[in-house]
Amino acid sequence: MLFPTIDFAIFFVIVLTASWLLMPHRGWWKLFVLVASYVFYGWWDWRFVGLLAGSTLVNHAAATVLGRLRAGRARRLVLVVALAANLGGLAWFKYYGFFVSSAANLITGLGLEPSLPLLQIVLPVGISFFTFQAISYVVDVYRGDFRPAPLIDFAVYLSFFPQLVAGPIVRAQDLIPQLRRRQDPRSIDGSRGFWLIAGGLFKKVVVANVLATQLVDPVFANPALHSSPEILAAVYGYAVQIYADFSGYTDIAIGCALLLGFRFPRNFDVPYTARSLQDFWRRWHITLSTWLRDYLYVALGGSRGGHRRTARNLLITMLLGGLWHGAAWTFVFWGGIHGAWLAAERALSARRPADAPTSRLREVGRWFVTFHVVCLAWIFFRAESLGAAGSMLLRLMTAWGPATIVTPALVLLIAAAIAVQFVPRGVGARLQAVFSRLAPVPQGAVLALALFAIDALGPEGVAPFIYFQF
Amino acid sequence: MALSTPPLSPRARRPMPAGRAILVMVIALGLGSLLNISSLREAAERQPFGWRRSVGLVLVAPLDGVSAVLGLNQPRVMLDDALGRETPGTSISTASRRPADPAFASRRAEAGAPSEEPVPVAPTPTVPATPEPRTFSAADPLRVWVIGDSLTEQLAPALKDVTAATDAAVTEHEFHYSSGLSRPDFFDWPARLDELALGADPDVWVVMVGANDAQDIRSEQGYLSVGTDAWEAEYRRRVGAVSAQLTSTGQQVVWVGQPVMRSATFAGRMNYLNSIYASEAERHEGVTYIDSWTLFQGQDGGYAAYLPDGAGTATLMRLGDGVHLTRAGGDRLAAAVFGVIDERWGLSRVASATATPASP
Repeated sequence: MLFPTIDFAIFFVIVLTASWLLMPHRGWWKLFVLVASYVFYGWWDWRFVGLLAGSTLVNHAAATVLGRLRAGRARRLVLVVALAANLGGLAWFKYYGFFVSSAANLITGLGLEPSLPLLQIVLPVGISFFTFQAISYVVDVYRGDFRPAPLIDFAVYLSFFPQLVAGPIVRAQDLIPQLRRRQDPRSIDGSRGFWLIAGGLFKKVVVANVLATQLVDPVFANPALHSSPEILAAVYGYAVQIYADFSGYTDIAIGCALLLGFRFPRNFDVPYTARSLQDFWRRWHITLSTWLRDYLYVALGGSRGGHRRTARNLLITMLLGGLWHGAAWTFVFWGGIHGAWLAAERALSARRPADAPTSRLREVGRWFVTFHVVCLAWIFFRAESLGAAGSMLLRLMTAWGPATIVTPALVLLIAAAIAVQFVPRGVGARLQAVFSRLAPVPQGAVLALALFAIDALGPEGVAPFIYFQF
Repeated sequence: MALSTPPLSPRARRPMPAGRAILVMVIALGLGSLLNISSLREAAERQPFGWRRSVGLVLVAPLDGVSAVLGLNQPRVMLDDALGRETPGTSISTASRRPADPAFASRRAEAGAPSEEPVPVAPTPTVPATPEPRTFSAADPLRVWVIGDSLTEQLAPALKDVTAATDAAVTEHEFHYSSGLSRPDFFDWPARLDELALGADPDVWVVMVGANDAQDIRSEQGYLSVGTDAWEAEYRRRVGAVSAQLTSTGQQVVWVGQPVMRSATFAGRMNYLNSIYASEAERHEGVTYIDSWTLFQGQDGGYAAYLPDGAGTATLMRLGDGVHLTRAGGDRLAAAVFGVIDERWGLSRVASATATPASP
């Protein structure tokens, strides 16, 4: 079920009402939320529900066994089996086609006739997200950071519909204790919930969809037909589009959770204000970057083994982070750019004294460079192929000409979307406080006006969220 | 890990009881529905004929009445006017949200043609006039328009690259999600094509519709169930009328059939529509049918997600839904479409020797 649809609006009103009515009855509440989440997920394809339920049972069994075992070798074996099951499932759905088609082409290249079954595996929505949640849960139990939860608690945690398909990637220790507690129906942070939902819808339906249909999609589809200024605008436009699309989704997810009485971790924190790539990753898809840090980078040795080892670990982490998005060389390049630049930043900052003076100009320069490295990597992330990315870069440098499709409205939209990230957080907080003090009817009216503007300004059709494909 | 919301303080946001949050949401959705009633009505109307659509319309009808009485439908009309858009569902001729290329429109205006007023649909097929020999060039290119539904999303960009490479043709594109010929109440392609013909004046139309058309039709004879003789006669009439309309002044039409689909049921329906497109193309001079069904078949004659690309590399041609095309699929189809266009207009010859006039 997509968030910006009438289906979801009706679903959410029913679930919100029933959830608060059932809240005093914890067992029934959990069962209800589980069923509601499976309905939400099965709306795409009911067969996916079996996969989610299967993942729940396998990981619950692994965590239960890990919780009982004391011996090191047996525990390690259970962990390895659980990780293999999770990563194997992910690999089957995400990477089968890539590997088999590559192998088939290799065999053909050798002059042989391939007989590999080139199956088209349908990627279940959200599998990357709930698999990462399941892995974090099993590893936390293995490390002794979290005690195994009852099956119903774990099942609700893994399938909880607001964050199921595109995050944020919520840790068990953040959500399961909340699921066990009876939330207080007299005091919920509803104003912030509504604010996030309305803002998220605006970001997705208006900002992301307008930029995609009017600028980004046409230019990335035919870079050879566009001038340098158009390509530059499309690259900036994509930077804004993917932020608006993805952070819009997580804002709606966090807002829905707040209305249900739950708090999710922050997933974005004005990422385009970052003055280094390290800073960017503290602000962009925070729950993925912290996941990669805690379960991959640290497992590789983190920054404990000297500069060279740290650089290697950063590069491996970011390359695998790139591959998490999909099996394509474009994602490998995207991860490679981030990993290499992060390593270079570390090396440079190690040479610079900690108390070295800075200036406003230097900070602006750092922001400018960081933003453009991020944009360079986005070209590879968005392009259909490495060849298409190369064509974009070549045209960016060599095809000077008029920018006929870049309207003043689009320039303003891109500039405003970046500039608004520099507005102090207090401004938004004050507006939310004012909204929270309104009576129910004016609050409803303000939100209705927001829905009016979003529906009227958004382009035709409902485009899926970018991160649904990962 | 930082939580999304800092602890509440009395000077910041005021917390609310859950009941009030539900009330606010109901008010917002109710009032929002009244303000967006035209869009809501359109969402109900675009459903295939059946009980879901009927229930949707029954639910929307009272809101529609209340919205009209209170004048709450007017802000949307005014905003759509200000944005140059047509309010959903207010006209049979649904206006495009992607206007025709202004360069073509201005050229047409210079020639003295009206740019806004649609002309009536030609009721009967007319014999296309023999086009004057023309020399295509970057300054005066062959104008190709791709129109249809979301199946053209990858075909058109692919064809743009192919035609641009000739330096003698350009491709423009207009598509509308969920559109076709079965439901002019949702999107009226014949009316829109009249507007495009006046504004853009293409030389070649590439038409690809049908994926949304295997549904009941409402006509003067009442509701016609898909697959019945009456349905086929009406659908065939519509395909024939569009063919006649688009070729009325000698333009070429490339009618692209539906590719084989993964779902056997859906594939069967598309095969049935393809037989109509193929036979209507034979009946209308200037219309060429492209059998994309065969083009996307695997070695066993069925659906194939992977097919060899131009270099013989096994490449993913179809999206995960088993219906739509990837860009590689668009490239495959565009090559076939361009072959038909090139055969008539000799663009490859123009590209290889730009001074040579093209004689159709």
